[in-house]
Amino acid sequence: MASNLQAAYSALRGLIVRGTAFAMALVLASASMPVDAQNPAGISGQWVGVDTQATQERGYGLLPGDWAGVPLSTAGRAREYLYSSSLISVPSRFCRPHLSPWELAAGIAGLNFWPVIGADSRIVAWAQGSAFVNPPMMIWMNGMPQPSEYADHPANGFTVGHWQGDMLIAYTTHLKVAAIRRENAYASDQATITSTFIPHGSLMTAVYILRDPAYLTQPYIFSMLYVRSSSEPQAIGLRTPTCLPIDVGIPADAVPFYLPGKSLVVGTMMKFYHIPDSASEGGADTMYPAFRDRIRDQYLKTYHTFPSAKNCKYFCSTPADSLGASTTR
Amino acid sequence: MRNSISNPTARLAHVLPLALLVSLAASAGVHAQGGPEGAGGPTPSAEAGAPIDLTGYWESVVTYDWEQRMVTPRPGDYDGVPLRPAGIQVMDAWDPAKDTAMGLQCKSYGAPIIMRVPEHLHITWQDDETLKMQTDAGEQTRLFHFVDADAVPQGPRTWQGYSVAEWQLQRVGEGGQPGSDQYRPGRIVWGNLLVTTTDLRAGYLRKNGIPYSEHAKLLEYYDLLQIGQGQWLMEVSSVLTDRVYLFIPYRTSSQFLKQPSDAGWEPSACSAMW
Repeated sequence: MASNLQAAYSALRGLIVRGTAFAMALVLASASMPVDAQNPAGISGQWVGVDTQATQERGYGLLPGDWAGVPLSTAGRAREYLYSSSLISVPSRFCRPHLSPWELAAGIAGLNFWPVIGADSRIVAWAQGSAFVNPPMMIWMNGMPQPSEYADHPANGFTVGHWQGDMLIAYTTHLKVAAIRRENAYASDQATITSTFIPHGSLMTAVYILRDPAYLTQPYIFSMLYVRSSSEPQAIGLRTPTCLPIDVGIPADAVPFYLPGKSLVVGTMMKFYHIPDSASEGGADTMYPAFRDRIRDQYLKTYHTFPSAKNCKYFCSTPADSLGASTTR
Repeated sequence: MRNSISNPTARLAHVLPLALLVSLAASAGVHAQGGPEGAGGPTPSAEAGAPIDLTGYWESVVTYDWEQRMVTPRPGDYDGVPLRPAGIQVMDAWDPAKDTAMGLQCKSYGAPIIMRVPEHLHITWQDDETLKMQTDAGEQTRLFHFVDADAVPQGPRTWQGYSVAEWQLQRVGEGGQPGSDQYRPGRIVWGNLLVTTTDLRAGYLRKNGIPYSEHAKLLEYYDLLQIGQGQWLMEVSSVLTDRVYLFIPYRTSSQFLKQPSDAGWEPSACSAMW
């Protein structure tokens, strides 16, 4: 019911008002808690995202027009073709929060978990923060009922969680319309996310499953790896972000978009990767092995026209130190 | 809270409360199917003591790193790989025609990359202590041996190397020190498979010639997630270390959806180019 969501808001607002000092107290409190059924895997702490996979997507971003591997529906595809990334440069939209829970998952951020302790000294929620400054996502562990489907959709949605063995499974609803591939692809406000956090010692695997009846035909599965940071846990992301709009030349009353059939991003994957539109436009079949047969001949026919390895220019490498390596060793 | 079971000897110290486990299996999908393993009871085999069921047909789901996995990556694309200069040199010299001529088409189907290849898997128990994984892409076979890590036999290096497996059991209600009279093993609520692979033949991390050496060591975690009614996802998290060609461990993850049958299973020979 809406009152449940209001209660969740109140709790979160309380955390924000009290600020970082209070959050740090929570962290310190958690440090003295025994590892028990409330936290079977010791998930508390700071986790650094591993950049050796989905490197481009999490780093500088995929090329505009790259929807390969996204199970877009016809409606979802139509929406992407109308979208212009200039839209987020409109002054009125500049400071609009665009870091949805999905972007926390597939974006460049690491993760930070800390427990929220209730009056009975039990964990009522896990707070999940990121290196960004948006409010942390609260994963309610105390049986908080789902809010009404008509309740407001806050920036982080509404999330409940439970443990299965060492795995923390979180289920998020009440999301806003938000990007699922940077500014490339969007999910609707009907979308839900099931997040499963699986600690393996100092390595944690997070599996995110996005379902969206409006724009996806099948669940969109994404996985991220994290390593435990040796840094002290920090209750980050509790402060309200300060955003200063910058005039980049987009008029305040503009609504940038592409007319149907006029999108400028179509064909970029062919230009840089020789990947045909039938793949880059996405769709569930692009997620599965059999799809390779459909593009094999066309792809291999032009493979020899790629620059040689030594002349690879675009999106070819990430500096090793950016991946966490010290190249001076 | 985890315990590991890698071999019968180790398992003696880990008692499986099967009665509880069976009742839990009905609701949570825990798999163990062996006989009672209490004090003095028989030790279940790796198959009987499996906390999760990985057997069956599985299909890759590729939603990220698409340009590196679904097609042959462009020459020189090692984005995301912490490659040392020595590795870049090898990559720059990649020649698929030469590999084919030398009969090395399977260099890009070795254990460190095979789970990233778009494919179908067929997982079965070869015997009580050996899990067998076959791939249709490249027609490879991996054997996961539930033996002591120090019992690895000396043999020739192969594309799939030698894999030692162990179940990692997740329990609640555990108490006391393992091996002591006060020890209570608790209730198994889930588990995962840990696989360590060595004795690899040098191969490619990507189809475009990014190398790994025979000194590489692969660590893999296999987890099972129920994602819907009767729908299962196998998540494979990999950590590859290779002091010859990599600055730091190369960590990746791959997903597979459980298939109801062998539909889609299409064995294909190794290819150096596709």
